[in-house]
Amino acid sequence: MSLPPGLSSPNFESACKELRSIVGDDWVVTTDDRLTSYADPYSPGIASDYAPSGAILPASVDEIRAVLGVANRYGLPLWTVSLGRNYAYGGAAPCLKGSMILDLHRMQAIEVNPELAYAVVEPGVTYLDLYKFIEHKKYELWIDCPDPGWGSVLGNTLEHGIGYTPYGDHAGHQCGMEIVLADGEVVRTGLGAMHGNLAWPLYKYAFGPSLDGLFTQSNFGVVTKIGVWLMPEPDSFSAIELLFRREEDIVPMVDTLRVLRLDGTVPTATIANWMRIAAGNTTRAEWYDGKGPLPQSAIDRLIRGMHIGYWGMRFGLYGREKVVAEKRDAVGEAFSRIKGFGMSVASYRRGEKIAPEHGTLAGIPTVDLMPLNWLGGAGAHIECPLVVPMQGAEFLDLYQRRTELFNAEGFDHYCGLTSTTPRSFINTGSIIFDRNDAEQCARARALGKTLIEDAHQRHLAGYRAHISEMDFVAAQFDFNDHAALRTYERLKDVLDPGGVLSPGKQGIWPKTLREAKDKDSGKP
Amino acid sequence: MTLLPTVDRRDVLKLGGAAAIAILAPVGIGRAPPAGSAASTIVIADPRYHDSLIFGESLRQHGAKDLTLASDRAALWSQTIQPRLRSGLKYLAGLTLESDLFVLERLAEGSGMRISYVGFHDWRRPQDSAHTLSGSITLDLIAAALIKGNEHWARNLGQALILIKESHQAEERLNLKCAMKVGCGPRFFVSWLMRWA
Repeated sequence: MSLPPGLSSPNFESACKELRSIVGDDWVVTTDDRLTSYADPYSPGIASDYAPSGAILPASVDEIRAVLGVANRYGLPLWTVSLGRNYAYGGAAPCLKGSMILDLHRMQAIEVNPELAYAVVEPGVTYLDLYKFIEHKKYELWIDCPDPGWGSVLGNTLEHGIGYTPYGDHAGHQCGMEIVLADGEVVRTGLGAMHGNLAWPLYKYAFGPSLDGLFTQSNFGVVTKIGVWLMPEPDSFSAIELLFRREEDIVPMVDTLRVLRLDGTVPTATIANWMRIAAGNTTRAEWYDGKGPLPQSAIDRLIRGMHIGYWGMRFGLYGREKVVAEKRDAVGEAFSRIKGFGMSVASYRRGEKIAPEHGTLAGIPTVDLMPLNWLGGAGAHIECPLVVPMQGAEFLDLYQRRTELFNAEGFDHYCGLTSTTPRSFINTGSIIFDRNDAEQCARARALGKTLIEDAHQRHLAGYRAHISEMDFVAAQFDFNDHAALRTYERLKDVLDPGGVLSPGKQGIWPKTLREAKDKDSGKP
Repeated sequence: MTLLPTVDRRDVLKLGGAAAIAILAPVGIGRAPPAGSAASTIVIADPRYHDSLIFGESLRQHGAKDLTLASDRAALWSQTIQPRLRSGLKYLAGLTLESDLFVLERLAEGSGMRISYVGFHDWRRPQDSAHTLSGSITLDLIAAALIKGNEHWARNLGQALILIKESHQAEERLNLKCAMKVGCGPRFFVSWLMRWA
């Protein structure tokens, strides 16, 4: 077990004793066997550098407030997780070794208003839970879920997670938030700042500044409740899948999609390259036996053998049948200008059973991790998804450069583009590796860093990162000598002067640890 | 695929003594499974892979309930497996891709599940195969099934799992002279056994 920095073993034991008196003996975890579930399951060979000292599992806001009191008195760093399913970005593991996990999964309250189409959830509510709750109540509402959907609704929203329906921008569909500050103060944002306000989960803005954004991807407080908007079940829904033959087709694909996104014909859309399509259905060994990335001949064989395109695009069209039919025609006409394109449509009326392969387009959570089997072994992935403008030629240039970088480290290029907003894509570039293979882990780490550096040279940046890359990514945001990060640090020092909340998250360190930062590793 | 019987290296890292209790079928292959053993077992088979189906069938013949790995794993867990925990399900076994074990482990979190055994079966190298076995069961039986292996390796593995006994935590690594040609499946399987107290 790793001790928290600056705490002696007796002091840590004393702090744990006080914590047990707050939450009960069963809910303070310090034994190695129970702490394994808080380790990063996808760590690229560096899990021990991010080992927690323990975990505490409060069940209420009052218990969180009392826990924070103890943490501040002892200088005990806490790493807040809702469920710790933020896989690919560290899971439940903390940035600062020896932090104690503040695990909120016991807080599982759900409230749904079917008329105004919103839910209020606590951190322990998963997408599967919320889906089942709505299904059980027979509300005609859809959720939007990421893939896989076993994580926390609140946690994913705070991390700016995305999904596949028109409500795919999760932070964009969050409304109202309750936060416990480091000193124990409980704050409600927006209209929730007024006791009992009826419109709290309905309207994002209120009288004065908007606070919500300060508590997403941050370590300024402990978020204990959020409102999320839900999508009314549409009268009809068509799952559209498009196929394109050539690598260079991405240019007209993106430029055509941009027009359809901006004029409202197409909502959230996803593009996948051959590797992303293939990895979801097969393994590399079924196509190629050699080392290094797949040669073009093997890629061509795979594309022919699986009857896929070099690129695939999918999205849903939602609404009244006539409206959806009109949109389908517009989509077909727009993309038919690209030579060799194929289009398949699966349509559903309200209440019809939706095929599993179209589930995420209808907010039905899945837990399939098939792409991680691409290389065999114990599959894992890390990534730093970029935010890229929706411009075809520029993206092709970026794609080809990233293919070179993936291939140089011996990996096949896994590329996805998800447009939850109409002007940009989230460009996922999953580095899939065997977590039991030290050599592959080292190459994955090297590639991760290279991709971030290359993006910076192109004036692009990631919007999420693995815990081991958070400082590195934060450092890329360099306008005016990192003025934004310095502002975050000023806020951190005011809101959490003891520096106990999630030190290092998104590169934001409390004052004492900033001063102790090691120049080489970027960590205290 | 054939596992040739030649053993290059057998590295027994830690091997504890077996306890007296056989887990799935203490009376052995070919005899009726006792109540509360294989009869309270579900085995998961991936319909995409012949070896996985063979493995599932070998356990089904000894009383286990076999389930096909559905494309909707969440539904498989919540609608089929989880309800059986309330009616006596004690063991869940499978020969699957690694991600399926990863998913099921996490879906089973909080239900009192313990992993009794995991075996990684790796044919990715062109000339041989590597098998890493770990768990709190008698791994020798699993190892022997693999060493003796032939084209029926998956069946043998399933039959060995019927006979295993509880033991101390141990790990065995085997390198076997065998190869699998490109196109013959994923070339990496995980065999596993979960148990509920």
